[in-house]
Amino acid sequence: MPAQYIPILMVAMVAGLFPLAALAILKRASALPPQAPEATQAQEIRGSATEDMASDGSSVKFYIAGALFVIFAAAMGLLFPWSIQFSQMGGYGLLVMLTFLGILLAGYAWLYQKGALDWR
Amino acid sequence: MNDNPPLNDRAAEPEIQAPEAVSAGSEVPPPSDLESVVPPANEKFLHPRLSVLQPLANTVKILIQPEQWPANGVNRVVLTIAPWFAITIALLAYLIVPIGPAFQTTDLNIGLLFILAIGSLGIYSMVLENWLARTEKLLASAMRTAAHFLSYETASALALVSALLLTGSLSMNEIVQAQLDQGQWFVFYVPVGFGIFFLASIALTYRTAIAMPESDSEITDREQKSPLHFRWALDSLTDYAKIFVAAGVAITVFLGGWLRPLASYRDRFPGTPVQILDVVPGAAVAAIAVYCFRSAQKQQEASRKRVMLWACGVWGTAALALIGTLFAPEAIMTGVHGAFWFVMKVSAYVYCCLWVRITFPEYRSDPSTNLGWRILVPMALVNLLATAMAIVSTQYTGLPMRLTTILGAGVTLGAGIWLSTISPTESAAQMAASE
Repeated sequence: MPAQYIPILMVAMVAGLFPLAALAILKRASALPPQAPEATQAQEIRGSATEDMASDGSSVKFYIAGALFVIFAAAMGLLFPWSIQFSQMGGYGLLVMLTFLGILLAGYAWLYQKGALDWR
Repeated sequence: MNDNPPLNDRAAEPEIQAPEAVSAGSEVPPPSDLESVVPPANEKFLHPRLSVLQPLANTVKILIQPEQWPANGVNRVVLTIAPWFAITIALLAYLIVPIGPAFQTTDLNIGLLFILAIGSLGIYSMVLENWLARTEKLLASAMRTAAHFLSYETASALALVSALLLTGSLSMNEIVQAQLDQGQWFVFYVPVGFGIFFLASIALTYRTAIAMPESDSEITDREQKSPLHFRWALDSLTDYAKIFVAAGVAITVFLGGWLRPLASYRDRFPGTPVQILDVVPGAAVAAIAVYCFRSAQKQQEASRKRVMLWACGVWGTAALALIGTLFAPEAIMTGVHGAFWFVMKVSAYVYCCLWVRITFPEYRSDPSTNLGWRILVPMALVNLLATAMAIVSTQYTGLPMRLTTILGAGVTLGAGIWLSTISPTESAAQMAASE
């Protein structure tokens, strides 16, 4: 089993070295000296200027989206092994998963009704 | 010139006059005669045919730009690591995708799960970059994209599970093998699942029609969005690497991977006219070679003729190799032809993604996130249950799988249409109530 993961390690190293090499070339090849931050600011952020810092906190809808994803990701953790064994379990497997997904869908419908899925 | 009235007459004047002055002053030669368009040697213009080197020149230009950092004291180490991380994991996902039976780096027994796990790490680099820029608009953009990403990630994973019901394995090779054994690509069993995955893959790779991290009217850009720095180039490269990974997964799970069309007929009906499909790869590539050869004869310039003849040689060699493998042992034949079919299918899939991108306008992020959470996720859940019921009813009643899965797809589509009809009215009513 671990033998399967050796190629992954090797490719991970190659894949990691590629952008590292590119960034190293960038360090060497930059023809001009680094500019003062004030000079580049206008180029980087076009449009309206940003005045506030990011530490003000963000809208609660992002937290709701995160919580929703955690719920579905946990469900997915059960769905993958179930789907692999499904063809051997037959009707029993379907019944079990119908119960589980039924509870999930009921919660989903409640969230839908409450407007938690409204993205404005 | 155009129908819009100019805002300022003075500003518009030279714009209108300029083309006329040019056309009056120097007689423009017919476009077929390229040599005469070339400016005289004392002017510093390159020959038009050198414009093929423009992408290369752009790369060098980005590479030698001076480093730029956000003004407000940012952590430069993390800002350098973030795009490095993104491109590394995007390249890593290629490992598991089998490009033909002979070309796969490693066949993990959790192959698909590995790709999903690796793929969802990609959001970290984007959030990190924008978090570190430490301005509120960039952070808002990052959070919005992350929320968007999560909704489509859920839908796409659920769509993949519906196809996994038919395979009984997560290994990418065995998924393709299951499609060969069952004599059917899974797109015909779970067409709605494939549709959901296609939409989600466009969204997950930040292609325009469905997902857009930022739009022109509300410039909340990524930190290095100005195309001035190589870190930006790495980000851009990551997006394109991801679209190829998504295409590889979609092809392997839904469209038969490296199998040719009607691949199962090879064993089921040996020696029938269906076998003629084996000649298609060689014939298609040979046709390209012939086209290059004919095109080379029509070229006026010697250099263009050389390039076309060179292309003809390359394609001709490939055609000879593909035709030659027809007479080689079966394993070599399926290996080489499998790679041909896989590359063809991936190219077609990526073409369709880019086609959608340039055809449809971009939507605001709120309707597209709503599409993810309110329509695609429940549709994917219903699709999963419908597919499971179709499989079980086939097991119990002996009805053909094709019939039961089509019924399931119909139910899922109906559910999707119902969801799309209730969504806008409800949210409109709620908006009206809140106002």
